[in-house]
Amino acid sequence: MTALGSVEAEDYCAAVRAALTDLPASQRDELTEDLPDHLMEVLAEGEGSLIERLGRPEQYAADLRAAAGLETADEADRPREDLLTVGRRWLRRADERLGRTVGASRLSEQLVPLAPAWWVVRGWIVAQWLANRGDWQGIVPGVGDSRNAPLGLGLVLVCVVASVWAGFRLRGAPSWARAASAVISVIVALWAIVVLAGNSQTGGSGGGYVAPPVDNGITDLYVYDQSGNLVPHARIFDQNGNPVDMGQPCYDANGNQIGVTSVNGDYSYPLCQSPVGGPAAPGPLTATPSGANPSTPSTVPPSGAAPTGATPSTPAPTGASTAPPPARSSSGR
Amino acid sequence: MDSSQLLKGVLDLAVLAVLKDEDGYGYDIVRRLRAAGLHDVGDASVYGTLRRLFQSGALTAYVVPSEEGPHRKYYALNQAGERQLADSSGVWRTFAAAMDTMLKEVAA
Repeated sequence: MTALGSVEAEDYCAAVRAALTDLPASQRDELTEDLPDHLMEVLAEGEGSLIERLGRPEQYAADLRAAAGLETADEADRPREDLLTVGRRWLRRADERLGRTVGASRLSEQLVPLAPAWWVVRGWIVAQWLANRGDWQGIVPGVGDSRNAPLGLGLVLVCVVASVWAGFRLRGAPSWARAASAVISVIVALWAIVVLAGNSQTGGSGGGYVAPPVDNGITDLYVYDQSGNLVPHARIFDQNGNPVDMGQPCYDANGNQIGVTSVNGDYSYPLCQSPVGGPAAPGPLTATPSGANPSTPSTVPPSGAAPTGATPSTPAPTGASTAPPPARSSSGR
Repeated sequence: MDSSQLLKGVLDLAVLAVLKDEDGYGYDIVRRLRAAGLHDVGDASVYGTLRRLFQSGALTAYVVPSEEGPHRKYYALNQAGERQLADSSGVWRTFAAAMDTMLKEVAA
């Protein structure tokens, strides 16, 4: 724009043009062709500031577009309220309302400077998806089963650069391109949220990652009943119904795991299944432990916990076979 | 109902009428409309209307160089514009007459 003799006029002009950035450049230029001269003439009349005389630049821009027929903003002239129009209007109102909570006229204005940060994150998310779908292992994904880290790093760099470049390129692009990009961004963000929610529930990323066993020097467990008999293939659960997997499984000379574990890997104790070399069996209990009724072990679990108390059916943990726990409580006492 | 609602429907006709007497440029037309009594007309609306009428082929435009100031873009009615003015003013007269009849009873 040619320099006007007045900063006020230049600012006003720039503000009007800024409110028309969604239009193609040629249209915007045509609409504001006469604006500088108009503003200077109004100023020359000396009847007040431009804002006093003409209203706010955003309003000026809106009136200009409406009169030029570029946007049917007329209340009385609403042809059909299709879903898109209603949706857009609702978004705009929400934008303004939320904007006020952060002290701006519109929330979207405040978020615009954050866009480049989002582009970086967006690229990273896409790289994760390309590398391992929903199995996020860290900042730099290892690609595929071989966990190829250099390839993952390269993938992240390529995707981030592409995303940021796309973000800048789309600034002047037609609205269909920007709408498509927005849709893609939303899909990417939603997918990321789903993955994160899923990961937090399973306590870590999905399959392929097994938590190391608790290391407190315990390598095997031996469970005895009140008569002092060893309970073979005992399975131990905590108050939430999660299996307690402790110790180190035993392997024979050929490297095969000995002893019995159930199908999904829950430990059954003793792990090594060899009574020889285990601890000496304790004698029978002479006194009832306080609080618990040992004759009906099926009701022992504290209230509110799975495994569900009185019934001998399988406790809550997954994978346990449908056979009831061994021996005593099958009669349902 | 304020006059701005009425004006929206009728600004085309007002601008065409102003241009029938004499060609004009943007701000000049705004001043003439105000001088004729349309005090509420907004500058932006006039400029937008001029552009739309030009796009629809009712006006021609030409640039007048000026020694002292900026070059100005002047608008003029062409034949299509004259026809539109005649048609629209007929519609207006009928409408205004109907309104006047209905409002005869109402105190001014």
